[in-house]
Formats: sequence, structure tokens, C-alpha cells
Amino acid sequence: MKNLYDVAIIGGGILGAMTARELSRYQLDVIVLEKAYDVGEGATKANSGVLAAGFHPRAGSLKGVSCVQGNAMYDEICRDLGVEMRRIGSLYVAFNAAGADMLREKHQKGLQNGVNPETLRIVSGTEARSLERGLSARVTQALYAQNTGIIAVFPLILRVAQAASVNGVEFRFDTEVKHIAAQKNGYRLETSQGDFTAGFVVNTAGETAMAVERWLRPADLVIRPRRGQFVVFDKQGANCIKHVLYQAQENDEKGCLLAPTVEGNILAGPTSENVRDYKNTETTAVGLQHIIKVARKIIPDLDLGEVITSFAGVRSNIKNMVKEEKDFIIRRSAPGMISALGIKNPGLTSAPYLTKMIVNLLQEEGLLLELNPRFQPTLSLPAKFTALDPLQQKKLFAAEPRYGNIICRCEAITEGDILRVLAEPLPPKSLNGLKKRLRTGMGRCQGGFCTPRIIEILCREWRVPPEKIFKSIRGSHLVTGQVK
Amino acid sequence: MNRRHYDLIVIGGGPAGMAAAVSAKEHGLQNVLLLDRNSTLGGILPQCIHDGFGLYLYRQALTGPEYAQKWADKIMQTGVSVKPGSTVLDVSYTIPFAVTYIDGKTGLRTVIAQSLVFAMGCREKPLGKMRIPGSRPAGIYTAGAAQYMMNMQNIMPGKRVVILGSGDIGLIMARRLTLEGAQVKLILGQKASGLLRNHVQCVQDFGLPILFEHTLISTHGYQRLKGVTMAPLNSDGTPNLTRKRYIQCDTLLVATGLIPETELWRTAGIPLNAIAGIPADQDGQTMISGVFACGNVTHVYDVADMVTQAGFKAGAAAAGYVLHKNMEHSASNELLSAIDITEPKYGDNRALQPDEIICILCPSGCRMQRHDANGHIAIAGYGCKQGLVYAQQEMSNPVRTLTTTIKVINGAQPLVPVKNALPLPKAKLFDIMKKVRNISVTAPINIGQTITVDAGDVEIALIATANVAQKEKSC
Repeated sequence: MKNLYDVAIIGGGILGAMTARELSRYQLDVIVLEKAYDVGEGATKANSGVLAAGFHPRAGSLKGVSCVQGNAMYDEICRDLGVEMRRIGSLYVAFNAAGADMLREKHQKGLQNGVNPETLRIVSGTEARSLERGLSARVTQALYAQNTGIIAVFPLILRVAQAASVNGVEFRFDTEVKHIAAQKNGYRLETSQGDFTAGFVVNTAGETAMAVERWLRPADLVIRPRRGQFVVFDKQGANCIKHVLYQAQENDEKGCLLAPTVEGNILAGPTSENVRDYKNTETTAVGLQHIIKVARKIIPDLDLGEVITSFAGVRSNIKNMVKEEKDFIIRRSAPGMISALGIKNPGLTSAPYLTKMIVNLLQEEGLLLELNPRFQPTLSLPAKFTALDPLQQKKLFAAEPRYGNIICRCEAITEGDILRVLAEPLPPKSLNGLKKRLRTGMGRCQGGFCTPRIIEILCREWRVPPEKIFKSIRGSHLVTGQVK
Repeated sequence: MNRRHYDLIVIGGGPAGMAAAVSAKEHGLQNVLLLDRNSTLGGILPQCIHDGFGLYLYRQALTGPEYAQKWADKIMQTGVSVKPGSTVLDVSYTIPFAVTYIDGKTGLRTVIAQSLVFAMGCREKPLGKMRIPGSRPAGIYTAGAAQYMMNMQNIMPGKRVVILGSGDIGLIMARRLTLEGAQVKLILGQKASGLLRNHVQCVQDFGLPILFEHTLISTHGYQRLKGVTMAPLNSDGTPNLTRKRYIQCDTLLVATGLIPETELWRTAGIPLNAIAGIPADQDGQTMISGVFACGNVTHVYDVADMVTQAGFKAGAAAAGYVLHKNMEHSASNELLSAIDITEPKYGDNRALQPDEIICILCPSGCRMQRHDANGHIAIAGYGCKQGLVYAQQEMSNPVRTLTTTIKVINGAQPLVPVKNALPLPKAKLFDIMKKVRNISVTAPINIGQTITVDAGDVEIALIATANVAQKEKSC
């Protein structure tokens, strides 16, 4: 087994995966070491899927600039990788004079962060309601940002990583980095799956990025987990909201947004609270009540009966800095080692820009970037069978009749689709991996129908007993064995 | 494209759809197509291996697979065209109606019909719908998913189980899990529901802990479920957080209710009824002429027999629509209509009094007393003669029906459902289960076939309640 690389990337979240893809443009041996069974299992997974326009972060901050620049870079990424993204625009609504002040402040921040002035303007309450029908009558003004987008998060992280993979990047899962030691011409990374040697290291370990950096330099930042809870509503068809909706906070409410997803669901959240552990992805009654309260405030007629699930994600929050100074940190931790620290919202939007920064810093550290002549910028993987045109369907079905067996009825996913993704680059290794690739179990029955059937297919294809099928990571076995 | 034309297409092959298809044939329709997404007919019935089906229609406590087979036989006899393994993806409501479905034999296909019967049944409410906070680790299933795993796939969902919901599905799964060696740590429900006979034979018989007016307030665990927190309900329906309690478990079964499966109705442009079902009159006629709906897709029924009755009416009405005449009801329809299905009793969760016996023979659940005022044995309170016999038996040597599964070798399915030929002593159920777990039978197995289990001192005869074909030879 090969264990000598030019660059080792620790962490396969959106930033690690994008860095991997960026580096695959060059003639480099790159490896991504990921402790989970799949890419994007940390903060990336529990993302709102909103491409922020860039009026929230402090003016002139890295957060602000990377957000505006990153947002613009998504057109190309999504086109090249076939990821669905729509710039539907957002309304940041105010309910009173104080809110209107906040709204003007956001407007200024946005302009200073480089948002195109033509895409960012203040509109009246009436105009806001004409843009978004269900908006509360209490809304007095809104900041309308046309560049705010929504993106399919699972396909994004997946396609980025798959694109890196087809261009030669190696991904190792279930591989936790336990220690890094500097050695001649690079680093030795000790992992749960043996040692790896790399000339350069990129630390995009998200929640554990600070702990990773500490092996090579004294800690100066305190980064703690901060949890965000979300509520998902069932697909609403024509009643779905048309924009991402933020609100100027009244009293001491924490900010929550309402966003349509590319699939037509509505997402509401996140909350924001400190937790002790990055594994604490529990939702709470208080959190869910808060989200629903804010959601109702913005859209009073929201149908709460249509809630299908809730989830929470944990982001890295820098603790020992005042709010006004907090920012994303991309820095040289040691010679040849670059770390990304405190990356939280709008990290997904900023990721393409941050990636370029990381690669530039690596170059400054001496990484030789020679273009890879075989680099393929585009990736084309087929859509699910039921979404294809009849001719393609006929062809696929002739070769594999199991495209005719519906396994996930809510999302219309067939057995053939499952078999196809099992053979794709970076195939799924768990039930969640399949969900990330095909949306199995994400519909209104939440896996009630398909989970047992998927377990059966995975047992057959992977030739393992049912208790070896995991939901996500090691230890998350779905069932305990056979009845008899 | 040349599309196959039918008089009637029935969507869904559960008790409602099977009855509708048979009824339409009996009432004179020629070309009736039944589409069902499963490989075998019966809808949810094949996984409901317990007994209690057909008590009204047949005066017999059939198991789910037996009840399904009865109707599958009728489907064959009446000449209904059946396409199993076919999932309907789209319905066009302009006349003639077009139904697009997908299966493993022909791929995507559109067929047309003069009339439609919707019989898609219902699905289970997922935990997320209950807005119960907490983590989402492995080990949380709806009761029906767990039932499918255990009874159809030979998969054990977990070992230490909490069941949320005290309706019949939850109670039946509690017994099923207990018989297969899992520990049911608690059944909790907001209010008493479920048939009394199920409370007796699924909960009391095994001394399982059950709590009403309680609900789940959180789930815990990162990889696999580690436990749940529950709390009693205040009078306003909110949980009393000062009295919350943590229960260790690795599995949570959610049995909190069913929702009509109305996905295909969405494009009809007509709102659902107040209980989220397809609106239809008592003959199954919807607001679209020629489109009928019956069974759980209109509202969730309590008893399968009632679903069959509704399906039969809808099938007759569809035939009447196509043939432009008022139907003279067929013999079976008269039979079905004549049966008076009364709503069974629920919610009487008064603790069983020391002197009481609850009859489990039918959904009525009569509460009987053993003694008269003077303390003499004198059974009172029974609703029929069988009840009296049951009470006498219960006082001398309580017996039960045992429904379980046996491992199949070389079968198309891994398990065959079975029931006992003769009532078994209640006290011996676990001993017998131990033996049953260790035996296997070789496919093919025919419904009604006797399988003998050597239970030490006696031989026990079990009867297969479903057919299991031999595994197809893979090439």
C-alpha cells in the first residue's frame, strides 16, 4: 500500500474536498484522510444549503470577502459538476424601526464586502410581500439580495469529491489522524489505519482542526462546538416559499432563516447554542420551538403539520475573540502545513475562495504546481432513473431490469439506481452514504418503507450479514442480527 | 403507442384493492388490472403473521397471510390480471384515465382505463412528524418496518426496545419482540388505544411495562440509540419535564399512527378530507366521475374486514359506472353487506380487576367476572357462549394461539409464518418458542402444511400460514 504523498488533506468536508479537487489540477499525489465513512459527514452535512450573498459578515473581513467571491465561483463549479444551484434571492426582513436600522447596516456591509450594488437593494414591505406572498403583514422593509442562492448540499460535496477522485486524488475513510510529526522534507501522519508521509499537509479537519494544529504549534485559539438545529418541512409544491428569508432580530432572538431547498422542501433554522461535544447533534424541544416561532413570525400561515424531520449540526466557533474580531482563519501552522480554523457559516459559500487561498499558501510554502494535462474539469454522472428521458430509460432498463424495481417510493429511487451508485467513484459505505447520493429515505415516510429493503440489497451486494450494515459510522449498526 | 386498455385499473393489492378487483369482476367487468408494488399480493397482510383477521367475515381468527391468500385465490379464480412488483408513478385524470407504472419486467409503461380504484392503503407516521427532539442514531424504526424485518426478512431490529404508541401495531410488535427474545423495556402511549384482546395477549400475558399519558421527549445516542427520555403528560397535553425519566434502550419503535397514502391523488387537484384521506362516499365514489377510492386511503380503518367490505363496494360501484347500470349486487356482495361490523371497544384501560377475565376471542373484549357476590364461581359478563367457554378454560388451563415464523431452507423467502394447530398452554409459550427457533423446514412449503416440533415431552403441530416457493436458481 502506498503511503508517500505530496499533499495530505486531513478532513473530507466541503473545504477538504474542494482543496483536493483544486490540487488535482496539478501533477501531485494527494490523499484525503477522513475519519468518517464518507465525505461531508461533519458540519457540511448539516448545512442549510444557502449560498449567502455576503451582507452578514463584518465589512472587509475574510468571511465577507470570501463569501461574496465564493458565491460567484459557484456558477462554474455547479456547471462543471452538474450540481443543482439556483440564485433565488433573499429577503432580510425588518419588523420595526430598529430592524430597519439593522437592514441598512447589512446593506452597507454587503457593499463593502463587494456585493454588486445592482443586486442588493432595500425594498418596502409591500414590495417584499409582492415578491414573497406569504410574508407577514408586519414586515416594514426588506433587504433584497438577488445573489443569494440555494444549492443541493449532498450532491455538491459528493460531486466535488468524486471529481477529485477521478482526477487521481486518493480518499481514505474510517481513517482518523492520531498524530502528526515533522520529519525531513515533510510530515508523518499517524492514523488509525497506519502511517502516511506527506510533503505538505492541509488541515481542514473542521471540528478537530485546532487539535490537529496543536501537534505542531502552540494553541492560541479556543474553538468550541456550537450547535445549530433545523426543521424540515415536507414538499409544499406551489405553496413553497420563493426566497431565502432572514429576519432582523427583535429582542434577543437568535437569527433563523427559512429557505426552500432545491428539492422543494422548506428548511427552517438554525439555532445557535454552545454544546460540550461535536457529537452532540441532538435537537431540543426549546430549539425546535424557537425555530417554529421565528418561522411563523416570518410566514404566519406556515403549515406546521408538514414537518417531516429535524436535525442538528455542530460548527466550530472561536471562543477567545470578541465577536467584532472573529473571522475565518486560513494560516500557515508550520512549514508546509496550512490550517483552516473556525470555519462556520458561511463556510460553504466561502469554500471555493478559501480553497484558492489554501493552494496559494501551499505554493508559497514551496509546493510545485505543474498543471496536470489529464485533468478533467467536468464530471458527468447520471441522474436517477425516473428522472431520465424515455429513450435513456429504455436503454438502461434493457441492460439492467432492476431499474424497474422501486425501492424508495417517496423519492422514486430504483434498485438499479442503488446498484449504479455502488459502482460509482467513492461509493457509499453506509445507509447515510446512499441517502447522500440518492436521497433514499429522505422523503415523507423517512425510510419506513425503504430501509429494510436497502439493508437486504446492501447485504447481498456487499456479502455481509445485516448487522454489518451501518447507518453512518462504525458502531451505528442498523440491526442486531438475524431473528433465527 | 399502442396502450393496453382496461375497464378498470385497481391501484394497490392489499385487502381493499383485492376486494375491489374481485368485486368488479363478479359484477360483470371484463378487463380488470390490479397493480401492486410488492411481489406478493396482500399489502401489509403477509407481514402481519398474528391472528385476528376475518373474525367478522369468516367467523375465524385467520392470520394476515391466510387472509391475504384467501383473496389472492379469489383474484386468480375471477381472472383479474395482476402485475405484482409494479409501482405506479403517475395518474392522468383526463378520460380515459392513464396510469404510468414501473416494474422489473417491462420497465416504464402507461396503460389506460375507463375507471380507477385507488386502494393504496396507508403509511406510518415517522418520528420526525411527531416533532420529538433528540439525536437520530441507528435503531429508530416504525413498528411496521420492524415487523417487515422480523417476519419477512429474518432480521432482528434490536434487543432492548421502547415502543412509542400503544395502538394495536405497537402491542403486537411488543409480543413479537418478546417471543423472539428481545426485552421490551416500555410501551408508552398518550392515551389508551388498541383492542382489549391485544392488551391481554400481548402485554398482560408477558407482564410487559406499559404507561399511558406519557410521551417521549427526546432520543439519545450518536451511533446507535442509547436511550430515550420520557415524561408524563400534563392535563394540557404538554410533557411534565420535572418528572422526566431516562430509559436505556438500543431500539425505538414508533407506532404513533397511520396516514393515508395519497401521493397519487395530489395531481387530481382536489383537497384531501379532514383526516388526510382521499374524499369518497360510502360506495367509494370520489369527486371525479369514474375514480373510486376505498380502504385506508380514504381513512384509516381498525379492522381489515371493514377494509375488504369497503373495497367490495367500490369494485361494484366501478363496475356500475363502466357498464352504465345500477348494479344488482352479487351474492358475495350481499354477504359482505349483511355483515354488521360494529366498532370494537377501545381505550378501556382500567386495570384488570383481580376477579376479572377479559375475553380475547373477538374485538368486543368482554369483561367477565369469575365470582358472584357470595364468592362462588359463577362467570358473568360474557357476550356469547364462546366467551363462557373461554372464561372456564382461562380459569383451569389458560391457552393461547402462538403465531411465529420458522426458518426456511432454500426458500424464496427466509421464513415461513406458522400458527399452532391446537391451542397451547400459555405457560409453555417460551419453551415452545425456544424449540421453534432452532428448527427449519425446506421449501417448497404449502399453506396449511403441518410442521411438527418436538417440544420435549410432547410433539406440537404447527401449521404453515403462507406458501413459500423454492428459491429460483440463479444463473
